[in-house]
Amino acid sequence: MLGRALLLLGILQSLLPPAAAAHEFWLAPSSYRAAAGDTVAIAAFVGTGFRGERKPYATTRALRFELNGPRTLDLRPAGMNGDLTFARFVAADGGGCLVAYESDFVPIELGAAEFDRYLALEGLDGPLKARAKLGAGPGRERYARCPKTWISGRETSRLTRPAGLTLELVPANDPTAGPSLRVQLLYRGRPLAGALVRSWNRPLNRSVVPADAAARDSVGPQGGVRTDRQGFATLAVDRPGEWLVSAVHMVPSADRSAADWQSFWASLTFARTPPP
Amino acid sequence: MNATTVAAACLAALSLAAGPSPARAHQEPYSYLDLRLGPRRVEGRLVAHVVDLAHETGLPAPDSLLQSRYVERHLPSLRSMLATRLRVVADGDTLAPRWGGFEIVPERRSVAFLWEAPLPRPAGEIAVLGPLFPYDPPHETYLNVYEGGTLEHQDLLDRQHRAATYYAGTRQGVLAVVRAFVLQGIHHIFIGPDHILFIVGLLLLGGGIPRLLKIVTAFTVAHTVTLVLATLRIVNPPARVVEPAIALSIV
Repeated sequence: MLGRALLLLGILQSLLPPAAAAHEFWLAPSSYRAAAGDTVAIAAFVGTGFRGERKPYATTRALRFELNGPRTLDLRPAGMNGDLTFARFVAADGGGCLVAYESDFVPIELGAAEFDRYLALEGLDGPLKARAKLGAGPGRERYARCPKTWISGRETSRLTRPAGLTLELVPANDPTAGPSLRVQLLYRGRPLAGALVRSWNRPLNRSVVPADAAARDSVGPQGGVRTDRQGFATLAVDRPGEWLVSAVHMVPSADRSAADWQSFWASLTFARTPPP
Repeated sequence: MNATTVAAACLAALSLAAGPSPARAHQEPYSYLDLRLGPRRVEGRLVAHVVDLAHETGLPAPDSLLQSRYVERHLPSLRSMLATRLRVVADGDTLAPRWGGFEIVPERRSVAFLWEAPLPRPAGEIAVLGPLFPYDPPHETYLNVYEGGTLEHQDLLDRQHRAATYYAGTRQGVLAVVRAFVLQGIHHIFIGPDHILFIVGLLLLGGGIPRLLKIVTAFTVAHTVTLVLATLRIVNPPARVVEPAIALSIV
């Protein structure tokens, strides 16, 4: 009987997101819809399986932090070092707004086996093959984060226009309207082929308000699709709720004294909500 | 259902519950240090996560530190541990904190410790060393320095950026800036053989003192302008172009 229980445990564990998985980073607004004059707060989360802890805002690490609404607004001057709220702003209209953030590099070092496991989990085949060929030492990496969040509205051109992040998921259509999302992955403004794009889905707390990402269970990805030659991937986003789409790209580090590899983590959050 | 079955089911359930949860501790560990600089004292507020506090004092249950009574009971060991982590240096003298009260910060799963340190004279240069909990490599310390009630300096200490320096907006601060940068300038001249060769070359070429002063001053001004442009990232040409250009400019 004990053996059967352990077998069951093994099966259940295998269905869950692996504990060694790298951490996603995403932006979550206080509401995924805002009318003119509404105040919206933006928080950042880091975690796995769309469950995470709030990450404080670091003034010295924010390379870009913009609000793309009727006009583009730099949110960095209003950012407060250590604040759990990245930004607060008043929506200028009900057309929707895209918030985009890019961090400076953060160094990290992992043991060889752990680093290779993480590369495999993230589908980073290129670095994995390069390490296998050259001989794998400890994983000296520096990573930068490039999340975006879409507070929905009728002006979808604000969503489908690239914000100019180093690695960026750019939707080709409004994911809150149809059952699928066609998204293009851009690296330094150019389409990136062969990258794994994954999605996660969680129920909203109420109406357009996300559930507390720290108090919910982690979930496995809804799907994972490799980008085509033009950098496009199509994901099914037919369920209601909060969505996280994420992709990572890793290249040899431009500064070998700082790290051997540098990675960029792009994410996009949005919500499929009932009409107001 | 026998006892073995129940035990096995409990084991499976417990492992399942513990396995995937990313809330194991805190994934991106951080602490906060706020300094309020006054003419005769520094007031501090150190906010530390319960996981770090428990780890560094050997307390078994981190979340117990979210209860005031538990913190009160362990306050001496917590304060003595924090005293070894907190390194704030005013004009070269390490401050000795006098600990005050504490407060629980539940939304950050942290405890805030208040302290103050007297200053014998208004400080010009405040240096803070960190991060506060280096046992955990990804740990970061958010540093905010206030002076005259205004937030003047924001920084992030991590394993690569281990020291932050703030120059006060006072006469002592101005003097500290001048002292620091004059020394850095002298150091910069002597570590660069191109600077020394330039001076030697000028001396070998001969000419009067006024001519020498003019050339050295022009070089210094030009060098300062290029440094400012590069530091502010207004101009950032590759070194392979710049270095030969410097040599050519001397010729």
